[in-house]
Amino acid sequence: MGTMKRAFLYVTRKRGKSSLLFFILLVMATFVLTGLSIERSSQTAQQNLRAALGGEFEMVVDLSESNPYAVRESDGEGNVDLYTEYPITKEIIDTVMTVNGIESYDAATHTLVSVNLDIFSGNVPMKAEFNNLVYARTVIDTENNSFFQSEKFKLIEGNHITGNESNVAVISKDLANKNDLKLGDTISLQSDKSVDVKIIGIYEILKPDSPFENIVTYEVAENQIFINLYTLQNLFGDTPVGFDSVTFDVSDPAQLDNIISEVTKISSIDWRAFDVSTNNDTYLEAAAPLQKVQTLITTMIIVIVLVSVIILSLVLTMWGRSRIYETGVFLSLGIAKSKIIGQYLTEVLMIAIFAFGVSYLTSNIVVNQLANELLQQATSTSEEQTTDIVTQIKDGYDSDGISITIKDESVLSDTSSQQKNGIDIDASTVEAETNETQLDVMVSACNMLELYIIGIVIIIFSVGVSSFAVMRLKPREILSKMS
Amino acid sequence: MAILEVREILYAYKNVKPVLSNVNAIFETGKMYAILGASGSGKTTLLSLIGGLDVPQKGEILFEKENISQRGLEYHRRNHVSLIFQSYNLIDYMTPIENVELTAKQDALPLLERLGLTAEEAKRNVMKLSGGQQQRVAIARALASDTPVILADEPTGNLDEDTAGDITEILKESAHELNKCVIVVTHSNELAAQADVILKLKRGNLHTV
Repeated sequence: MGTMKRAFLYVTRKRGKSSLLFFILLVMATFVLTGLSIERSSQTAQQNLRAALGGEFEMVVDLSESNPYAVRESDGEGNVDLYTEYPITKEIIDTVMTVNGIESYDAATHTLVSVNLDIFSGNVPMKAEFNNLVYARTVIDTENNSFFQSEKFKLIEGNHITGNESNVAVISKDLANKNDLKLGDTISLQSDKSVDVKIIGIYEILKPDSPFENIVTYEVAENQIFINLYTLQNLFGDTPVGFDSVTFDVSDPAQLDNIISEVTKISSIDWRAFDVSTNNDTYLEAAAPLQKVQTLITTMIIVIVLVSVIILSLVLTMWGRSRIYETGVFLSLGIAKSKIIGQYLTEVLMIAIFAFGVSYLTSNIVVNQLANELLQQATSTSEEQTTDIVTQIKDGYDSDGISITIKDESVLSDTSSQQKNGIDIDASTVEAETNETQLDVMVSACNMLELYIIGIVIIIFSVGVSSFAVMRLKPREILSKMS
Repeated sequence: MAILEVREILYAYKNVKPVLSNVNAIFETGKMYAILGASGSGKTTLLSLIGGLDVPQKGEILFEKENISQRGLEYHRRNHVSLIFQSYNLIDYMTPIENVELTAKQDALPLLERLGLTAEEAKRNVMKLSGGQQQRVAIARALASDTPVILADEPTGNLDEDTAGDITEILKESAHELNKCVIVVTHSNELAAQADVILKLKRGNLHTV
């Protein structure tokens, strides 16, 4: 009689023990499967969250003394002109973009230029020489620029700057109306050189500056003129020009550190001239509850597996002692120890196959309830923190050395704060993503496969442990114990 | 024909005087042997050694002139000897047929019927049979394995006189008609009297009576 048949006879004839073992395995499998399902769903939710939120890092020109290319020029009247001879060029951006994981970028710089236009005045008094100056904002393309992406500005006429045109500009509707300008008209910008630029687009300001903010003339929203790098180069002649900063978007914020590590290894770029800072705080805040759930579940799975091994080993050891008679008989008949252990293992596996199968149903019953309970607990601990941050973001609050800036309210009035510490969090994004953090858990085929693998390992280990005491004895010792 | 030989066996339990000392014996097929001895004289120990359930500290046991350790004791137990115990040692969740099939190299039911069980009894749970019937199942299992040596430890110890007589007859037939070498360890003089050769264990040595 073969091992399988002996095992089958035992399982079917010893119904009480088989039922008890079935129940133990079912409980064990339900917990393990529930844990695995929640863990996998948590991982998927984190992946989705990462994909939804993305992450970004910013490359900024370092104007400190550590940059060997930084130049400080004083006009003798207390004004210091700071610039770099090694700016962020399109070539540098393209080199950085070759690193895997970077999806897109937004580069910008702003330069004071004088214009032959009647411009809007700010509410901060300035020297007369600054009164006809505006910011010429150099972009790669206006469509992907943060002003337009955040919908503070919206193009209402003409085309966006795409980077391929020379000497073109996009101006505000208010500035156009004030100066009777229309698409196709030319305005003159003056810096080191004077350049005539053609108006190819007109934007409308959807979110105007707050009347309570202190804004200098050249920062007034209506005065902003968008140009591209070609135009900027023409304004400065032979002086090398480039961007002050560039923000690179990455698809997976979890990979941000790796990507930055790769980027800063690019040897063709002299990194002494730039600062690189990360921003995946939005993701970290939104993912915190999910990560807590995953940590909790991983711990839970380990505990369940250990407890299962202990319980199963104890039960099988107890039964093994009661089966010492049977073991002795098999040994006296010349059945190999390995085949006897094989029979005991097969018995448990036969029951486990059914128990694990049924656990699919029981796990599906408890899994969502447990997942939401765990998520609620994990969220409640970080809820206050998140709420505080969201509130702080809305209030433009700056605490603990973290500069939090609302893109759509204060960028224009304080662009430098956007770069400070590299923190740039969108309040609505954090709030929305935090609220949307939910786990929709279903037991999948993959979870079942994992359960069977883990379950079989537990069973093999438990049967091995429980059989060890009996199997190390000589047949005669076993038969002596029998008598 | 000599099939089994016990040569200068010595066996001692820990810190105790040897229970078997310099034991020598030759067993032939077609004969039934009875080993008599007082309690603790080492009868069961000798049977365990012959059956490959334990190993002597000294000496050797030869099956067809080959040391049984040569191919392993498991092989010896599976192919050379069959054991019958006083307590039958049947598997309690199996029927008589299934118990016999554990070792069977032939059909179990005809064998069980030959030993006096009905077809209906052969399909019941083995624990629902009487002691005599259970011992018949144990003998059937020993015969079904088709080994040339049958070792029986007090096979009639738990049986009434009539049943014990039947069992003794079956063992005797196994030796004489099936040409098996049957070695029986017993207290029973009645059973021993049916044997072709009677051996007695005394002070660790085996003597022919």
